[in-house]
Amino acid sequence: MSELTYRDVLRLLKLINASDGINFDFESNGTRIKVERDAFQLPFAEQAAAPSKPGIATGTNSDAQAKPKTSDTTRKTSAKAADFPDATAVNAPMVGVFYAAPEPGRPPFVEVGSKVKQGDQLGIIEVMKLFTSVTAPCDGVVVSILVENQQAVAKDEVLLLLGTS
Amino acid sequence: MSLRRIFVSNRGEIAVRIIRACQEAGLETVVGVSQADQDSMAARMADRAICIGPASSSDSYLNIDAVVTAAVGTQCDGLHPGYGFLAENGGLADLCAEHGVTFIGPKSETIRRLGDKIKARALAKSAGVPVVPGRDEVTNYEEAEAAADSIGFPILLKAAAGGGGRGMQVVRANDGLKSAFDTARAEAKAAFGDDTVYMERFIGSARHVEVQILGDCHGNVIHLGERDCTLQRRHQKIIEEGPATALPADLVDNMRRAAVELARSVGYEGAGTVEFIVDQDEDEFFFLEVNTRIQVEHPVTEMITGIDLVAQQLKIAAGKRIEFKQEQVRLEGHAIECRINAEAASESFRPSPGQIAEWHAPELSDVIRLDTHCYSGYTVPPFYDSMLAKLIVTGIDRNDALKRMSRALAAFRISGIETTLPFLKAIIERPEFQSEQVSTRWVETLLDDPDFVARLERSQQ
Repeated sequence: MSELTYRDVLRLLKLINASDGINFDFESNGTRIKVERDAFQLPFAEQAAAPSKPGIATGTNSDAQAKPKTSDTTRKTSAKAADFPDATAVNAPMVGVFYAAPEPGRPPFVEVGSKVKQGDQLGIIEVMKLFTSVTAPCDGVVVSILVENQQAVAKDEVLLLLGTS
Repeated sequence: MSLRRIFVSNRGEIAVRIIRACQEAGLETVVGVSQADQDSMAARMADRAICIGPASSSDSYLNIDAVVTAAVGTQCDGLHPGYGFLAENGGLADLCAEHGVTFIGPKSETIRRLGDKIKARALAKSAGVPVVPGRDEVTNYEEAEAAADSIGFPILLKAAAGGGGRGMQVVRANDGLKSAFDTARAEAKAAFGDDTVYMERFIGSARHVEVQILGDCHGNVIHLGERDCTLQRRHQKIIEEGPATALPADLVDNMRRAAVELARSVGYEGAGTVEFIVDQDEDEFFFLEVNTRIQVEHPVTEMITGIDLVAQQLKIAAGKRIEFKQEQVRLEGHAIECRINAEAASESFRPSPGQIAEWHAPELSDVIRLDTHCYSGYTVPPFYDSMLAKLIVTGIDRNDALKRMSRALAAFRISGIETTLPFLKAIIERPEFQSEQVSTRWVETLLDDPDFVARLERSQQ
C-alpha cells in the first residue's frame, strides 16, 4: 500500500467513529493501528432480545457489508452447555456483575475441576453495591465456567456448570 | 487565575448538577463517562462526553489515570470530582496538580489528614472540638481490654481506615469484647487492608447532625448552618433536613462554632461538612468526621441559605474570596430532602435496576426542587448506586415543609422499576418523625415492626 494521505486518515477515523462496535487492525509501512470497540449493552433481558445494531466489517469503503453482531458469549454459552447435558447449571440470581474471586488479585473461588459441596461459594454477584454470594446448589465438580470475572450478567444467565463427582 | 473548562469526574444526578452550575458560570464542561453511561443525561448535557472505561467503576470512575488522562487530553483546566468515587482521594488531587489541572476541592494534604479517622480525631481535639470518649490505634486485645475499662460499655469498634458503616461492631458487655474485636479487625483488614481498630463510647439515642462549611485560600472560613441526617438505614441517609430544629439552640450554636474552628485550624479550602453525633439523653455533641467534598444532601443548605454551593466551589477553586461574611448568611424557613432509590423497601431494599417506563415528577417551583438524571425510558444500570433522585422542599417552618413533602411524594409517579417512594411516604407520615422523636436507629426499629412492613408491602403493589 502506498503512503497514507491525510484524506485516508480522515476516512478511517470516520469509519471507526460511525460504528458502535468495531474490531479494526490496520498496517501501513510498519505502522500498525489497532482499534477494538465493543458495542455496549446493558445486561437486561429485554435489551438482549432486541436486534443489535450492525457492526462494520473491516474495509476501506463505507458500503462495507453490515452483519448483525450476535453476542459471542451467548453462542459460546449455549455450545458449552450442550457439551455437558447431565450437568447442573448454576444461574445468576439477579442482574449484575459477576466476580469469580473474593477480591481483586486473589485466587478465584473455584476453577474447572474444583470439587464443591452444596452451599460452597462459587462467586459473587454485585448489583448496585449489594453483594450476593452465588453458592453451589448441590455437591459436584465444576466442569465449565461460562462467564468471565467482572462480566455483566443477566438474571438467570448460566454462570457455570456442575457435573457429578 | 480563572477556570475555563471543567472535567466532571462523576455520574448520575451530581454530574448533571455540576454541569448546570458550570453552564451558569459560563464554563465549558467535559464529562468522563463509563461505557454504560454514554447515553446518560450528563453525557448529553455536557459540551463533550468522553469514555473513560468499561461499566465497572473500578475500571472507569475509580481509575485515576484514565480520569486525569481524559481531563488533560480534553484540555480541561479544572476537575470536579462530585461525591463518592474519587472525591476524597488525595492521589487524584495530587495527579491533577502535577498536570496543571485545578482540583475542585481542598488541598490533597487536607484530604489526607481529615480522611484518616485517627488523625482527624486528633485534629478535632487540638481545635477544642469535643470527641467521643475512646481510644485510638488499638492493635491487640490487651489494649482493647484496657480501653474498654476507661471508656465504659456499650462500646463501638470500627476500622481506623474505614468510611461509612463497614467494619463496625457494637459490644455491650465484657464477655462480648473478644469476639467483637476479632471480627472488627478481620473486617477492617479485608475491607481496607489495615487491621487497626478504634474504639469509642456507643451512644444509645443519637442524632446525626452536620455543619456545612466554606473556606477560601485567603483564610476565610464560615458555616452555612447544619443539616439533621438522623434518618438512616445501615448508615445510609434516607431523609435530611435543616436547620436542626430538634436540638437546643445553644447546642447548635456551639456545634457551628466548633465546625468553623476545626476547618480554620487546617486551613480548609472549598466546601466541606463536619459531621457530629448528638447524644440526645445528655444534650452533648461529639465530632464524627469531616467530609472533604460536596455532599449528596447539599441542596438542603442551598434551599435555606439561597447560596449555590457548587458555584461557590468553582469560585473558591479559582482563587476567589468568599463573597459574603458570616453575619450575611441567613437561614430562612425549613428544608427537607428525600432520597429516592431504585430499591424495593418491602423486600429488604432489594436493588431494582432496569428501564423506567414512566417518570412523572411533581411540578417544580421555588419551593420544590428535584435533582435527578432520570427520565421516562431511561435504563438504570445495575453497576452503580441506586439513587435515582433527590426531592427537596422548603416551607416557612418544619410543619409547612412536611406537608409540602407529603403532597410532592404523592404526586410523584415512577413505574417500570421499584422505588423507595412508598417507603418515604410512610416515613413522612409517622408521628415519631413528625414530632422529631427519632434516633439514628429508629428506621431499623420501624423495619422490625411487622405491621409497618405489611403496610409497606401493600402500598408497593
